[in-house]
Amino acid sequence: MRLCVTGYTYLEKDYTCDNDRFHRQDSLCPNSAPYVEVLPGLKARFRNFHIDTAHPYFPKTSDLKVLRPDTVAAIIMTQSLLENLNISTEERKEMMLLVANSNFIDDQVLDFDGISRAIEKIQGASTHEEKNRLLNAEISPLIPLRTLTNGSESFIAQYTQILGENTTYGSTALATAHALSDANTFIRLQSASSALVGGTHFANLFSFLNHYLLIEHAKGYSESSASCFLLLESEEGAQKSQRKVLGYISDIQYNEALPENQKVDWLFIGGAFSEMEHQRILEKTTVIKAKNTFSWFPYTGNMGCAELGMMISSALQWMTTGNVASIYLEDAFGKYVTLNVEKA
Amino acid sequence: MTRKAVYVVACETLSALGFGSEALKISLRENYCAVEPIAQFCPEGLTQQHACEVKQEMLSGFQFKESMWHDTALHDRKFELWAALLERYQSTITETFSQFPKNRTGIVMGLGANAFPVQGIALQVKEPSASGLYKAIELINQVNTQKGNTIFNHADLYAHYLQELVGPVGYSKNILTACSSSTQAIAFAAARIMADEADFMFVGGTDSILNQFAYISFGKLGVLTEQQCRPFDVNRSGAIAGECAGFTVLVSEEGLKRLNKREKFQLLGFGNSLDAFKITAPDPTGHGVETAIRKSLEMADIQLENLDYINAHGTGTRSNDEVELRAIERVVGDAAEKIHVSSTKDRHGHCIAAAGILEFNVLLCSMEMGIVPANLNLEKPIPTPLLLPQHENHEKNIHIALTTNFAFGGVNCSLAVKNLSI
Repeated sequence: MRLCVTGYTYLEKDYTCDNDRFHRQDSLCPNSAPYVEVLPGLKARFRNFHIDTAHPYFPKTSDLKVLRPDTVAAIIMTQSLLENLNISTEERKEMMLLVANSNFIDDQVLDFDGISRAIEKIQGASTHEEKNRLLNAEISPLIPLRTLTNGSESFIAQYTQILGENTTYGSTALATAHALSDANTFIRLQSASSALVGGTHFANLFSFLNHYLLIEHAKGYSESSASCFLLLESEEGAQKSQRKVLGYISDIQYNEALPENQKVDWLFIGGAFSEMEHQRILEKTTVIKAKNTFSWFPYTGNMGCAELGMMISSALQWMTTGNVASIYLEDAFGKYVTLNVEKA
Repeated sequence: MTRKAVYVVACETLSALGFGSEALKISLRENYCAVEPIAQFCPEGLTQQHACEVKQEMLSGFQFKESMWHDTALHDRKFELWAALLERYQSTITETFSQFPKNRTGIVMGLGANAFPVQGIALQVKEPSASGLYKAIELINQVNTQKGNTIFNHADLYAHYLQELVGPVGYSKNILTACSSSTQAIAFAAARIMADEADFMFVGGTDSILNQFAYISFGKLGVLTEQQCRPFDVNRSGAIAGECAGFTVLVSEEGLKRLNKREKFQLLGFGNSLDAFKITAPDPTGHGVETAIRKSLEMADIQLENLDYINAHGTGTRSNDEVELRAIERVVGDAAEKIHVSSTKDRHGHCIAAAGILEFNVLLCSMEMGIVPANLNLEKPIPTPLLLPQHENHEKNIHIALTTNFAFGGVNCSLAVKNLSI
């Protein structure tokens, strides 16, 4: 079965679905984020997006104390997408929501200075009892909510009122592919007729710590915060909803041998964290014969769980009707997914 | 499309109620309550000092002792539990995987949050005084474990470790929805078989919040009690922390044939829903809970008069239990007077992301033994027409039952199971 894409939205530092830069491949700019030393002798660069606090869909102040920045972005983007597509309250009640997250620890909302302060205080404690009392006095009860793995999913649900089948996946780039696969499964089972599927990624030291030892070559390590969501339906569902089909997703396969001499119009590759990783993936995928090959890595760095959505969105924006793209996405463990995207 | 049948051919857990299903059955039959003073760290001075801990030595025969896996297990209690579980059942699991072509298999894990940062990393990062952030990384780790590790733990490690033991599998994925993680993992694995996309799905779950940082923050959030955990009691005051690792094996009809297994349990249906209310509190109307239960019954095509038992989420917290009971009442209507409801969190604690896998096994064991586990500490029940067994287990042939779990943020999941042995 082919999944129909009837809507998409994305946000990265320089590339958003409503700015011109993304609409043409030749207008993309090489990543110019500065390198910072994260470990002795190892530098990395991180890109982070700006969120417009005056946006009409910016979340309520009372929620900000537990909201990670990538979740704020996701809340704004998903509300905008559903409103732009005039999706009714009734449809939202049955809609599936599948969210992939890369990083659950951020250094903005989690109050690391407070945590440091708390732990600093206990260094002088002479007994377990004193240590525990000091810790108990300083540790925020909000930590479980600030690090809640389904935080993005639950906040998106709260603000969009999507109530249907749902889950959160983590935590490599492949998690978003699993979300696509499950949307396909549930739509086939008729447990859902439409699904909002996407991923968010917050690039910071914690994400770096989560990944750098897993990859062989960390020199030139680059990450970017990003968020991307797709609205997916069956062909029958899209006909019924009368939404314009933008493209089709098919043939999602995990860790299968790459199809030698497959001819496609475009090849999108992703998942690299460093320049050498990027080159390795580029070489590995040369068996796929494509007229054009593209990777977001030189422009943004790794976008974690948002990368697959960004690749699909760019395929749909840059291809012409009938063009087919093959997508190859690898995670930090070397597992990979391939899938096809066809422009409607 | 016609949904394919899903059968449950194995389920094993390591929890405070014992290692393996046979130990779990004994604990359930004897109404063993595993609540004890915390041993993993010194809780003196804390308001809450009790939990349901796994007490046995787990790493004695653990493979890959010199590798990163060993370091990981030393740092990450969730991984330690998982590794011990797989060590015991490795030969059976490997043999089972070998019966299926790779592209008809999958692993779905239900997991909690990342482990805290680890000592190996902390020692490598820049001068601790450089910033609050760097200082925090090092200091959290010192408080948290003192044991050390070399990596900042990653959700995918658990499934990758399994594949180190059994070889590559079609795919693996992690479901991360807090207290409903492993329940949803079972549901999403079942969906693959129902859609004829797999014949063999391995579902795992593991979690523990028994470290100082998590335990204190959950305590301050107001969800833990220092008194007895009393699900569905008017005077309930909170949950007891627990820990668990577990797995279940779901197969298709074709899978049963390949394994030459007799069907004992069928997973008839599941339902997932969202409260879409507030991240900090469950929807007091219980609409999302009701929807999840209703959907699981509809998919299972169960007549309410045939529903025998619900192993409820029943955390023993003020905010959950009454909402859950009222939601069940609305779904089952007049059938309430024949349906038993209990929560076993009073004896094994709340295992957070592993709650679903443990309670799924509790349900299967209860079905096998023909007992409804009692609400052990229930003294003054919330008024309800539902049957809430108190103190002693109730002898009953359980033919069809549900197990439910609900997470912070309003992620609800219900599973419907049929006992094929009666």
